[in-house]
Order: sequence, then C-alpha cells, then structure tokens
Amino acid sequence: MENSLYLVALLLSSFLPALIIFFLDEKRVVLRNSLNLLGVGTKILLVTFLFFSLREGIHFRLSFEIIKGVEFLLKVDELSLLFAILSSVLWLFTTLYAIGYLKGSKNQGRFFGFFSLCVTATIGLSISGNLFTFFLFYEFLTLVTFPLLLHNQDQASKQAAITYLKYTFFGGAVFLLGIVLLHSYVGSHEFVSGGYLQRIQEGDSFYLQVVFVILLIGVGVKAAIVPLHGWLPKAMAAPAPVSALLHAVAVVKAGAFGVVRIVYEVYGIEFASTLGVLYILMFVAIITILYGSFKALFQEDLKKRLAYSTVSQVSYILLGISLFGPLGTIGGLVHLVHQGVMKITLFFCAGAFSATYKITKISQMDGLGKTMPLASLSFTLAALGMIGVPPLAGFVSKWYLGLGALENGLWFVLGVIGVSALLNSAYFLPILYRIWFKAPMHEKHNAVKKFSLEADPLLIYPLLATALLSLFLGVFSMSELSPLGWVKMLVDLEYSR
Amino acid sequence: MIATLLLLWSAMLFALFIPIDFLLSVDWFLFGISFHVDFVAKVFLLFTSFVWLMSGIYAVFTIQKEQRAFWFWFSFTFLGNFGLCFVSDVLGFYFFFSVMSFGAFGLIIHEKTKEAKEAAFVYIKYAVVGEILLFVAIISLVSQCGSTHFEHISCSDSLLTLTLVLLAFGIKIGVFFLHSWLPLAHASAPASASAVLSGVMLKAGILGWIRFIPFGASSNEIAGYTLIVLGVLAIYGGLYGLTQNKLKSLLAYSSISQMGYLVVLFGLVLLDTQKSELILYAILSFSAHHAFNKSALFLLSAEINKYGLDLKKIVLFSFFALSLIGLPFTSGAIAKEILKSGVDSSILLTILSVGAVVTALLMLKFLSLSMEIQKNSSPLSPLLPVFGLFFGSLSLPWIFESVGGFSWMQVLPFIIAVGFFIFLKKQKIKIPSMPQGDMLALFSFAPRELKRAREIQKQGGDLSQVVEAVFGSLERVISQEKYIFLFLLAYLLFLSVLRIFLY
Repeated sequence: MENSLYLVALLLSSFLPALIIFFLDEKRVVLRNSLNLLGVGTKILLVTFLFFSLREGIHFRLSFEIIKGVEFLLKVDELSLLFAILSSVLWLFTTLYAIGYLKGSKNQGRFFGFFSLCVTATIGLSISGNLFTFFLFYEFLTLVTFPLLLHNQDQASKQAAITYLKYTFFGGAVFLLGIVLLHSYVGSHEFVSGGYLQRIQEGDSFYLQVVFVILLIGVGVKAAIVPLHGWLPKAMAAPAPVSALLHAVAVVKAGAFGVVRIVYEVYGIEFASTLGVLYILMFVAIITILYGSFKALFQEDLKKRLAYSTVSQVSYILLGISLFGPLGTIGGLVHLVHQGVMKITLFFCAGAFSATYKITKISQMDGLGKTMPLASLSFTLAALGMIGVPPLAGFVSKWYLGLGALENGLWFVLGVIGVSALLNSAYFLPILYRIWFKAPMHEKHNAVKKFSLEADPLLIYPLLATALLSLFLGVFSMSELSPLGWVKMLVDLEYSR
Repeated sequence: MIATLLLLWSAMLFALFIPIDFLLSVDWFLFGISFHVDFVAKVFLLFTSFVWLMSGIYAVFTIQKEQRAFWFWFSFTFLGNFGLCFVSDVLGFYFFFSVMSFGAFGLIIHEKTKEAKEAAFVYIKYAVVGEILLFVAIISLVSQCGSTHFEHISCSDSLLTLTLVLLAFGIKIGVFFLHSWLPLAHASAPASASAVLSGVMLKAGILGWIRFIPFGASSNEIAGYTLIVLGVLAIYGGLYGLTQNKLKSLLAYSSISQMGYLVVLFGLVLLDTQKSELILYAILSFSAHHAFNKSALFLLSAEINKYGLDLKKIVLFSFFALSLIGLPFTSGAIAKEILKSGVDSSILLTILSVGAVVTALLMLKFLSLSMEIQKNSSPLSPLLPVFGLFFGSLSLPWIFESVGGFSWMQVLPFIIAVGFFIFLKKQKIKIPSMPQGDMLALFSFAPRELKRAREIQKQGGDLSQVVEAVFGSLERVISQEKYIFLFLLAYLLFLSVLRIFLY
C-alpha cells in the first residue's frame, strides 16, 4: 500500500466530476464545463507527477483482498503510464472538442457524465495490477460506453448500441472464462514484466495454449480483430467526439492493451514464444490488417472508412506484439500511442466537416481545402501519417515493425506491411485529392476570409493540436520524453530477464 | 513566386559555393539524418539547382492560372529534389524522395485538363508503389547492415534487396517495363515542370541507385545482365516515340531511351567491379549533359507549340538537338566519349550508335512537326532561361576538361538518320500515330471492354453477341497496335544476338 492515495485521486479526478455532472441542471453549461476541465487538469497533473516519480523509482500501489486468493490491485508501472498519459492527454482534447461540437444540443449532462466515466474506466484499465482488476474495469468500460453510443437516440444509434452490447458481453464472458481457467491452474498473480507464467515451467502447454486463445477472443472483441470486429463500423453512428475517443483510446485500445498485458506480463514474451501462441496472434493480426484495409476501400461514408481503417491499424499493435524481439515490441507499443493520436485527429476532422457543412460522404468532400483549410491540413497530416510517410508518427511505427519482422526473418510480414501501406494510400489518397485538387461543389461554400476561422474555434484548435502532435511524435521521436523513448525503456524491462 | 525564386537562387549559390566534404548532421529530426557533400553530390547539386532555377524563371513568364498552387508545389518538389542530392543516409534519402514524388503530383495535375488528371493518377500509382518498394528495401538494408548511413550500406549479399532497390528507383528512372507513366506525366505537365521532371527528377532515381548499390563493392551477374537487357530494350521507347504527334511526348520517349544508356552502365558495373570509378564518372557526366539539353528542349517545345518556329528557335533547337544526338564538339559527344573510355564493350558501342540514330530520327520528327505549327510573333523574354541552359550546355565540355576530337563515328548515325528520314518522306511512308503511354493503353483496354460487355448483357444481348463484341474489338486493337508487337518481336531477336555477343 505505497502512496495509494494518488491512485485513488487519479480515478476520482474523472469519477467525481461525472457524479456531480449527473445531478447538475442541464442549463448550467459554464459550471459543467469548468468541472470537466478541472477534472482533466487534475488528471494530467497527477499523471505527469506519476511519470516523473516513477522515473525516480517511487512506487505506487493499492490492494485489498476481495475473496480468498483474488485481489483488487492497482499499481503504476511503465506500461500503465504509457496508456494513462495517452488517455488523459487525448481526454483533454476530446473534452474541448466535445464542448464545441455539442454546443446547444440536448442531454449534454448525460453525455459529459458518461464521458468522464469512460475515461475513469480507461485509467482504471491502465493501472490495474492483475487480470481480475483489469476485467472489472473492462466491463465497467462496456457499461459506460453504451449510453454514449446511444446518445443520438435515433434508429441507427440504437442498433449500433445493441450490436455493441451483444459483442462486448460475449467478449466479457469469454474473457472471464479465461481468467477463471488461468486462476484455477496457477492462481492469481499480479502483472510482472517478463510474465508470471514463465516461472511455472512444467506447465501443461496445451492447456495454456487454449487459455491464451480464450483470453485473446475475450479482449479481441474490443480490439476489433476479424471476425469479432462487426460492432466497430456500426458504432460510428455515435457523435464524433465519442467515435474519436472510442477509436483512439477508450474501447479499441482497451482491447489492444489487454493483449499487451496478457502477452508480456502474464505469459511473458519468451514463454509465449516457446508456447507458439505468438503465431496465432500474428496470423490473426495479419488477417485483420489486410481485411480492414481492403474493406475500407469500398466505404463511401467517411466515418465508416475511418472505422475500417481503425480495424486494420489497431492490429498493427498486435502484429508488433507477436513479433518476438525488442524491435517488433517497440513498433507495436509505440503504435498504441501513435495510432491514437492520428486516428483522433481524423475523427475530429470528420466531425468538424459534418458539423460545419453537414459533410458525411467522401463524395461531398470536394474542395474542402479551400473552405476549411486548417481542418483539411490536419486531416492530410494524419492520413499521410497513417500511410506511413516520413517524418510523421506512423512512419516510426512501421519502421520498427518492419525491422522487427526482419529480426525474425519473416519477409512475408514485411510484405504484409507493404501491401497494407498500399491499401492505406489507396483509400486515403483519393480523399486528399478531393480535398485539395477539386473545386468546391457548392457555391455557398465560400473560401474563408483572411484571419477568420473556418469553424467553431473549439472544433478547430483541438484537431490542430493533435495533428501537430502526430507530426512532432514523428519528428522528435528520438527525444527522451517521446513515447518512443519511453517504450524503449519499457522494452528493456520486458526482455531483461 | 518571389519566395520560390529566392529559394531557387539561394540554392544555386549554395550548390556553387558549398565546399566538398561539407558535413552536417541533424540529430533531432526523426532518427537523425545527416548531409555530406561528396563529389557525386556536388555534381548533382550543381545541375539540379541550375535547371530548377532556369525552369523557375521560365515559369514566371508562362504560368498564368492558379499561380499560388503552382509555386507551392514547385518549391515543395524542389526542396525534396535538392535535399536528396546531398543527404547521406537512407532515411533522409527516403524522406526527400517522398517529398519530391508527392510534390510532382501537384505539378503534373496543374493544368487540370482531363489529360493532365489521367496522367497524374497514373503517375501517383506508380510513385506510391515505388515508395513502398523503397520502404521495404530500406528496412531490409537497415536490418542487414545495422546502420542507416550510406557508408555502411552494402546490399550485395541479397538478391532480393538488390531487386527491390532496382525496382523502386527503376520506376522513377523509367526503366523499360516501368516507364509507361513517364510519357504521360511529362507531356501533360506545364513545360517548366516537365523540364525538371524529365531533366532532373529522373536522375534522382539514378542517384538512388548510385547511393544504394555500393559502387564497385557488389557484383551480381543476374541483376547485371537483366539491367543490360532492359537498358537495350529502352531503345523501344525511342522508336515508339516516333509515332507520337505531340512535341512533348516525343521528348519524353526520347528520355526513356537516353536513360537506357545509364541502365546499361549500371548493368556493367554489377558485372565487372574493376572499372566502377570510370563508370561513375561517365554516369555523372552523362546525367549532367542530359539534364541541360533535355530540359532546354522541353522549354523550347512549349515556346514552339505556342508561337511556331522562327530563326532564333531553329538555332537554339538545333544546338540542343545536335548535342543530344552527340555530334562532335557538343556536350553529348563528350559525354559519350567518356562513356566509351569508361567501358570498352561492344554492346555499349552498338547501343550508343543505334540510340544515336533513333535520337536523330526523333529530333527530325520534332522538327518536321514543329514546322507545321503556325508562326506568330513571339516575345523574347521566355527564351531567357533557354539561353541560360544554352550557355550551361556550351560550357560542359570545359567542365569535363575535354573538348573531344572529331570522329566519323559520331556523325555517321546522324547521316543515316537523315537519309532514312528523307527516304520516308520521298516514298510518302507515314509513321503511324499511336496512343501515349504505350503499354498502359493496352492495359486500360481490358477493363473498358469488360464494362462494355456487361452493358451489352444488361441490355438483353445473349452471350454470343458479347463474345463477338469483345473479340471484335480485340482484333481492332491488335491490328492497330501491331507495330508494337513487331517491335517486341524484333527485340527478342536482337536479344538472342546479344547473348551470343556476351558469351
């Protein structure tokens, strides 16, 4: 129980605002927004504090036994911070964006309340110290995202929310089954770099392989691996800030983060490699990458295309994890951050387009470069980053993934990365062409006047910030404080034993 | 516009005065990139910045619509092209190469005509494939060598990596079979852009080969022979160019065949590492020569297209054309002399002479086409940059420190070509005109026909009608394009003769 108060404060910084907001009157906009921002500010301060404390070697831990042998355990390690920083920083941008996006619409109290709960769940996921605690927050996340998906209260969003529930409850049940199977075999342990199963060498390898597959299915639903991805493209019926958070940090990443924890800190990468389960993961990842990119080609709806692109991009993380060796791991983990920043930018842009000019289809995007230059520029940066053009963030991820593939002598994986990049450019470049080279379709879409902003500033500034962030993450990737630097340190820990 | 010109001017000064062995490393950028000016870089910097500057000046007089967009893409592409000349690691090269490749899209599409759009789409497809091949190649190089710096790169061990590098840059160079985008793109871009596209940016691919394939350190028989064969086949580009009716696409096809020489040289380097120093020098001098003359011809072709031929233009044109063919005392002759002194191989000699005949024929066709254009009084100022390139080309022999001598072998191809051309005119044999982008025209044919077949079926036609329609049109195309097949057949024959030569 070292410094446990900080952990509680970290959770409460978003939980308390949520509770208060639920009981606030709908009209008290200023109070609600300031509460939200106060929560965000506190959380970012806390996370920064944790970051520097951990570098000094101070530990944070909170645990109590629920039933015999099963602990509720929160702790901060390098991996948790990677995810916690990502989610709190992106929460800041999304909150600002959501305030702008939902200005004047109904049910904002409900929205922001569940929104903060959603972030509480992600932070909880990041600081969970064992599989059981992870599971609790994982299910909590499912429950609090449901009202967010339902927010528009139209037919499409109802269907989306119900589909989402079906998929995720199935996933949750399977996940629980896996945890129980593992518990009955070796008991519950906390996450340890290098994995705790590794120490139990004389294990029945077939049993552990089966458990791995079960766990993978459990978290794979949220990570949207094929064929468990069906809910994700539908979920784009939700308002843009929700999709942004869903695709960048909250739900999809929760799944990917689960895989990271299971492979590195439950099984241990070396043990997983000897078990041969990494090949299963690699196979699934490759199928998902190719399938997602391929499906994205045929989507006419901008958000749907982005959704399929997420399906494919998140599996880069899994691909990186499945490549044994430090370079592949770096590629996978750093993509966890990079993909989040780039994808949130894309969704912010999609939202800004639809909020300003009601543009949802790709065919309507002609000439946006003239009417919404800043948003278009951000979209371009993020899309090029997704393709993997240097010096953007996506290039850094693909660089390490490629090197990791060849470290194992897996040429075909490098080929897959190449083919996927080709598909990425096939579905992003036509959009960029429309934006920059075609004339605007409607006459009312006039070019912006000098020194005036193209849309609500609260829509534009957050997306500009994340777009610049995705540029800086690439350009300054060698800096010590960059995610890449942090991930490198982390990887040393995983492979040191 | 002014900013771009200032940029080009300062780049020119930089290229002129930068000392050899200038080192600079930018550690904070990406994984750290570094610059190093060696002899190769210096040569590339000089001709690159000079041709860009001249094209920029030409653009000042000629670009009227959407100026801001043009100058933006012009500077963007230039920065990529300029940077890659003296960057000294694979990562930086890849970065600048992508900047250049993507920027060129903006230049090609600038006119926004249907033709320009099609050309730009074809171009970007090729370019993206090239980029990805290059990325894969770079990853495998870095994985094998453990460093991104050019000094440590030696990819000779693995044929796969070598193939990737050859393909990735081969697309930019327009090696035979990868060349189809080139005539389309170069012909539809505005003249000031095609001048740099054809004059300098093709050479970026050559530089890529020089940097990524360690000169003299690696030898690979399969790759070497393949390159030689492909280089020889590039003459096909020149021959096909004869069937074109647009001045610019004629020039673009000529570029393909000229690049063929360089491809052959690379093949020879891969076969025999002894003479790599000499061959490198030959490649550099030929690149510089081609850059000046080809870009000048592109600029001239736009002027001729607009205002027709007059005396000034005839003089200028014949100077550049004769240089390109390689008549005595021109830069072309010197460059070819250096080529010959570098390698004493019978293949190269044959190709050079055959190529010279083809180039001469192309230039004659150019002349006869431009005579048909109606004459107008033309402003003098757009010719200014052409004069600049004129002096550049004129001074090349001194820069190479050889004036060269007179030999009949240099004049003979020209005489043959003139004779042949007069013969054609006398006999009233017309060279058929064929679509731009040769092989692509064939590829685009299949989907078009399929679509038509589907339409017939939709309208209720039965299967036999569909089959008839498809085969009928297939027959039409084959009869239209039988010359292509004839050329290909002739080349197959030529290849088998070549094999006998080599063994």
